[in-house]
Amino acid sequence: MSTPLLEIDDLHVTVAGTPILKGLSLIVTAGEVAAIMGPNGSGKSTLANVVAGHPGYEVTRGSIRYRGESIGELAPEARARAGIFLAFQYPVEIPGVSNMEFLKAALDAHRTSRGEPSLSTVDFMKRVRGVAASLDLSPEFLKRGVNEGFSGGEKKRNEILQLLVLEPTLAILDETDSGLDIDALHVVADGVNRFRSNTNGILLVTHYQRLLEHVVPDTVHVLADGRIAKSGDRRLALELERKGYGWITDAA
Amino acid sequence: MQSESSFIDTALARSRELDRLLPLIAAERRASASALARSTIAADSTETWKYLPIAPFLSEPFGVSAEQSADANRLHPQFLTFPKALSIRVEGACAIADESRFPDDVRLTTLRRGVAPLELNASIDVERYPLTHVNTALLDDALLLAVDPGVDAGTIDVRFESGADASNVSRVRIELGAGSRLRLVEQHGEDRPTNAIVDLAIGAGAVIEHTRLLAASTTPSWLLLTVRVGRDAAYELAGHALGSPTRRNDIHVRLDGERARTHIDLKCAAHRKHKLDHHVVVEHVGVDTISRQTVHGLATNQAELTFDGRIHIRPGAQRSDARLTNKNLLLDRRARINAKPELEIYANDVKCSHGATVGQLDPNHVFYLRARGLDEAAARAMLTRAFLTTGLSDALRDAGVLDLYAEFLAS
Repeated sequence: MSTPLLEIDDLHVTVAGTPILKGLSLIVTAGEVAAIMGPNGSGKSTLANVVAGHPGYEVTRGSIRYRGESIGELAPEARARAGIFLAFQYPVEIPGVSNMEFLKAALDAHRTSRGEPSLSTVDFMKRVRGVAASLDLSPEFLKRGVNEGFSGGEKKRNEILQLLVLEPTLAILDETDSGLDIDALHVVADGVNRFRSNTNGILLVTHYQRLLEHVVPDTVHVLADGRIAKSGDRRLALELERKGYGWITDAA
Repeated sequence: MQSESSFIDTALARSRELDRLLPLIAAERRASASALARSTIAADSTETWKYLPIAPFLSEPFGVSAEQSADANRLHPQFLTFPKALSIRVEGACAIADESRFPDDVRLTTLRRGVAPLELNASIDVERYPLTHVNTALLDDALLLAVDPGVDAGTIDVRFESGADASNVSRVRIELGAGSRLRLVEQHGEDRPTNAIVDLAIGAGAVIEHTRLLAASTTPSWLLLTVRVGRDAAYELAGHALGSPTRRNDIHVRLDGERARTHIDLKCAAHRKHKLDHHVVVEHVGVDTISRQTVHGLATNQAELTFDGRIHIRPGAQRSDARLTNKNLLLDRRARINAKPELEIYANDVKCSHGATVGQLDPNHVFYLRARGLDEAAARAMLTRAFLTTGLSDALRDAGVLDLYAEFLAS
């Protein structure tokens, strides 16, 4: 069996001194879509942020390995350049930096770290415009400040735009479906499915099953009180939809 | 540098000489000279000049020729170019323009050309701005520009550069006739001790869109901008001030006519050991007047940045609507920011709000950029620049103002 893309072992994480993850173990292999489900406050967003390297989270025990290498000590930018992408639950607004400028700086940073030359502005624009159109984002949108005044749906589509332009290997989608109307959900799901491949992995963090109807997961894990309480395939997600989380969290 | 008393002696001698050369404003000049002779300006200004003392502005050798050797190390002024702009160079009191390019209904003249008698300080609150006396006593010419009623004057770019004297004393007065329009660009590249007054009068229903760029200067600089806004007229200011060891900008906007309105958007950034002061007074005189002020300040290294913003609602200025927002970014524990928003209200039916914040870069913003591959330094630089360039007009962006900021932030 090949090396897993992401290998988390006995992970303990505290935020401002409060333990959130309490011995979480999880494996995501290349080509796999793993859904992480769970009630509010179970630690889903903490998991997403800690893999991306958010400095506000402290790993007190356990390890995170990406393609076989421990990444616990790596800065967030090093993880990003190595191919880990976090689609934020709440993308921040940065007035004064245009979407285009931001994306170019990000892509340049990725390419430079791989020893590739920066794309020319013309080639870059061509590429971004194409991806933007596929996500129903107008070229005008690219000139606006990063997420500035965007609707909830536009912010989430912008995250997917960045995903498709930066072409990472492991995508962590943190509640990307929240706040989306049904049309936007289809657009986002289409984008994620385009990213899906035999070599890429996806960690799909969600509270509801509805995104999983469009992005069908290979595995489903239920997070409760900082640990994986139950794992299964997509049928587990359907069961949760019917029964809620109580029967698992009570057992945990 | 000289002491205040020897500065005043030199100034008075120069002022008497000017009485012969340019008798036109002799009465005002003498009044200002006597105010200087009383020598109480520094003593009277301790409160309003609390952060940045007035002394450096009363000690420079105004009215003396520059030594050639002193010019070798001067900064080369960096001016931005705006398409289709008519340009005027102001070197000290001397204004230079290609007048053949100016249309007949945009009247350009100077004090020396002997215009009709005028009171230069009629619209200036001299009590509040005592350095006006230095300007008036030592002024040996002034640029006067008038736009005829109903005329769209397009873009006029006024560039201030170092003149032949060791110091710059400049005065520009612009009057807009009823219903006229002007995009005014004001760029300061003087690298001499500077005392400059820009005085704008906006007639009924007229509009000025004013872009003001203050590049780094190595010498003390005092700039006064006074604006009177008439009935249904509008004054929009986008001001950018970068660097300079000792700079004070006074801005006084008076909404005289009913429904007069103003929008003031200032970006101020100071680094090294620089002191940069902005003191803004917006006075609501007419009824139904509207003012908006958005001021972004940044201080790093050991700089001291001051913003003193006062909204003053005069008796009878009913239904005035005034808002002031001041946001500051403090990037170094050795830097200092003084934020002083003030309200003074003498009418009972008004809407006023003001607020000031001082903070650091938001760690969630830094993380967002790092999670996309930018290293921490690049992320912080991008956010810092963004703080100063939000709401930038396309014209300013196209003219290359971002390069000025990039250079400032890199130095």
